[in-house]
Amino acid sequence: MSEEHVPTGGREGGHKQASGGLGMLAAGFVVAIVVGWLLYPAIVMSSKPQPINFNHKAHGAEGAGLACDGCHTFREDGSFAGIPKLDNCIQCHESAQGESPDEAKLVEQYITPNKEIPWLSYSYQPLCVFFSHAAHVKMAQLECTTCHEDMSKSSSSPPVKVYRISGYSKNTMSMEACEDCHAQKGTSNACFVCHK
Amino acid sequence: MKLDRRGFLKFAVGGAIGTLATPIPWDLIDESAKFTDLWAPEPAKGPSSFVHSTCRLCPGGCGITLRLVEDKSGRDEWRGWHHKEFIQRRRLPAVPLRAVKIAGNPDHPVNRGGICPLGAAGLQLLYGTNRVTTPLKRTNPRGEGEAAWEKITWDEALNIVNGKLREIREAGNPHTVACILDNKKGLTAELIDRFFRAYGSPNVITMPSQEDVETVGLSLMQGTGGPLAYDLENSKYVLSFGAALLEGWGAPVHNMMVFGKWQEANEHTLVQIEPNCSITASKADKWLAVKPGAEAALALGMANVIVTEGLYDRSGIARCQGFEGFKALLESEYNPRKVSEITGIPAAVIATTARAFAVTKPAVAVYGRGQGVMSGNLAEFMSIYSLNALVGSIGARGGVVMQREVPFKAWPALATDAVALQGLSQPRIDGEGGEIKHGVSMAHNLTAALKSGAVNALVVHEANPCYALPRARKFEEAVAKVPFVLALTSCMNETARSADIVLPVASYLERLEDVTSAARVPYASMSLTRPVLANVPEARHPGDVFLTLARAMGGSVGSSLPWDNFEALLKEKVGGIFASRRGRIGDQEVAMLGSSDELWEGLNAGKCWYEEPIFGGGGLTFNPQGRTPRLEPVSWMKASREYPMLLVAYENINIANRRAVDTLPYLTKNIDNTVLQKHDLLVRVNPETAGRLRLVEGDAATVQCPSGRLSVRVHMDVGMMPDVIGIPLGLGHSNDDPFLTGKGVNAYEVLEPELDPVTGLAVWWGTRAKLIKV
Repeated sequence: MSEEHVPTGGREGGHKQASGGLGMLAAGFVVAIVVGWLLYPAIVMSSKPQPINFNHKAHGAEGAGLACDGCHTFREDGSFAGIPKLDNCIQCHESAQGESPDEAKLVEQYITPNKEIPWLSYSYQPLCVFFSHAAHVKMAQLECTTCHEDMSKSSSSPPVKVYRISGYSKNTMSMEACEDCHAQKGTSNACFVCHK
Repeated sequence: MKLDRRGFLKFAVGGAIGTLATPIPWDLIDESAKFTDLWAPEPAKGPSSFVHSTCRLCPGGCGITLRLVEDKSGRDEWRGWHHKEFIQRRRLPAVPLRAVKIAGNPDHPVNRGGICPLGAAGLQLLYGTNRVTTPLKRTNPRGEGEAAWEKITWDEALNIVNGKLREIREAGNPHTVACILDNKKGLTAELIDRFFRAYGSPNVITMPSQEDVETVGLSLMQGTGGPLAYDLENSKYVLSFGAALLEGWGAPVHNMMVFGKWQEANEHTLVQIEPNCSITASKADKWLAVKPGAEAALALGMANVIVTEGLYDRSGIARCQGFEGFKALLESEYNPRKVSEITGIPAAVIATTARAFAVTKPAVAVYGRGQGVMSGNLAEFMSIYSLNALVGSIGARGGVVMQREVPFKAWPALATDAVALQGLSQPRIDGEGGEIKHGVSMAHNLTAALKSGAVNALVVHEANPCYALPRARKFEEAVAKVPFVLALTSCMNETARSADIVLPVASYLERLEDVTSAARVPYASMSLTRPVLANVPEARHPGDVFLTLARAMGGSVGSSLPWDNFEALLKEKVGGIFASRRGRIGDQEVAMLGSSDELWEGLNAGKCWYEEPIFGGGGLTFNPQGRTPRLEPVSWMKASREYPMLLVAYENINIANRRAVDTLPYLTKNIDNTVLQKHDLLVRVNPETAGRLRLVEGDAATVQCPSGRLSVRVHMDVGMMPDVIGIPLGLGHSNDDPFLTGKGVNAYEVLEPELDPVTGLAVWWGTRAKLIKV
């Protein structure tokens, strides 16, 4: 009778062939892991290089000695002024100071023709979100690195990973991250706090 | 290991489990959320700036502050799946400034930083999809199906208008040109009125409003035309005869602030008298559900109690005339028992309310129905207004006052030639005129006047009579008979659709204009709307349009309107305020200013000119010229076998009802689902009445009136008096606005104007009706 059970996929039959079945199960599992972690990101995201390979390390404490807010400034009302403008660069790099090919590119392609550098943002918020740096940095006194990667030790600008479907960056925050932090800090998670 | 079916399934299960441990499913959920979100428009981002201006969406004239964002980069517009070309980004051109928010201006004396839902939604008018963007010329004959339009230039449009007006004038018929305005407040309206008088037409007619009956009543009783205002802030006992104090009457935000102060002080009493438990009634200390139309009788019943019990203010009465006759009338005809029968309010309640009103000082009786658009009859106004004289509240602090005029520089004398004088000597086509009807609107007579062929050209400026005149459809049919129709409007509306030429005018956020004296506020004030940005670059200031036309016409019209543009006129007019030394601008006395330019600069910085209210004892004539207030309600209020019920219109603060603009598109989302459900309008009916008609909540029904029928649904509301049907005004547009067209039905279509026996003015806040289950 048990022989007849096998093709119908009954429970007893399953037990009998358990060892071979587990092998296939494990194989499927491994393949999925490989596809999901290695292949999927390469398919779903494109990698966009920054226009200039900016060296944060060379500009920060270990190099030129600039503080973060030397370039990443806030306006008087506490709102964030956005990605640094060319004006910041011109102050020191009106002409090339060193041998770096990136600096040469900066001077030649952007400073001389006075053209803004089309930096790509790593972490911009979805359009439906009202995000105020003033509320988070000035009022809640959060460190920049709570949300942003600490770039001070980095000597190169990694390419920006952009999702092909939505066009958002890999670093764009998900609502979950916002909600978790708001819950921890006791800030309201009501819809209109972020979605105006 | 052989891959058989079983093996394959296990592999698939393993794969599925493994997938759960990878970012794939979680990432894709997140991505789909972010992706679909992009189908919505992108908000502007950039540095903000703030501009002060004035709201013009209702007669309240609140000070507003606009937040503008510099939109340097332009915006991305995404097209979602519902478009054929999904995942497409369209780069919109950068606009230098985008207005993103309207808030109340804390420094404005009228609203002190407050704002109402309508005012806050004003940007929907600016960026609305229904804006007229260029002058339009109709290419198919009127009255034959949907209008077809051709875009033309301003020069072409003005040439056509100028040609028509010139042709009519040269034929010696300037009086056959008529112009309809919403109201005559403000310099633009005065300028248009002046244009037509210099042209030779007396026919500049406003849309009807309560102010018409007040003007007549006040000129009879007090020898002044108003405008009537109330010092509600200082009043301790307010008897409101149906005025929607918290729902859009007068200056809504001012009233709400006053109401807030009343709550804090806890020594003010509000008694709301109306058949419907409106929001105002629900917030009042006392609600008296009076039979519709019996308000006059109720006021006289209260007057009877005050007079017979000797509770009246003797010094106030000493300044009045006709008191003895009034007293005799009250005693013979209006004892509380009889009034109780007419009004449906117990005699004891009438007496206690009257006593409290008389002994609490200061007290005020407020005449009004809803927001102030629906007209009542003269007897009603005079009866209610008389209560103020009995308690000494005429011209008193906490009582009624006449709003002073803004001391603009006077207009120079009108230049008139023989043609103009000839035209002006003709009677106005709506029958206005004579001793007591001077300057009031008799717009209900326009339908007949247009049909009779008395009008060769009709100009409609920022008004929508084809939608908002009582029996609107009939008026629309009559408009089709007029040889030439010109509409000036910022949004396409029902009236513009019936026009030959449509001229786009700038919205209130795009033009410089005076906003004079907030309605019902006890002091004069003036602040400016300012041209914050130009969303429709082709739109022009209506004042400039008429000045341009005047220049083109030349002759007496040209010399009566010599200003280069509206701004020059406004600046000259403001010089009069400086010369008067009256009032203050912001925190500065006008008398302390060095020059008119300083005042001009202050106004242009968004400051408001205003003065303190001026009180002074006043008297009146009771029951003037023996015009006995009638106990009998007007005929249509009497139920008949055919029409056993009364249809009574009511207003909603979220629904712009008539004033220059239609309801703002997305505000329809804010309307309660007991008023509008998808496309169906709900009428309020008492459950008892509904039960008798075997109707339950949400049932489809027909409201049958003498002048037409409306398809509605039923909302059962215990706050509505039995046998009365409450219907909201302001819905049921057919103006091609995708957010408004077909939403509900237009109650104006069935509101039948009944003529006031004394004045001939239209009374049209309701009509007889029958509710039929469908």
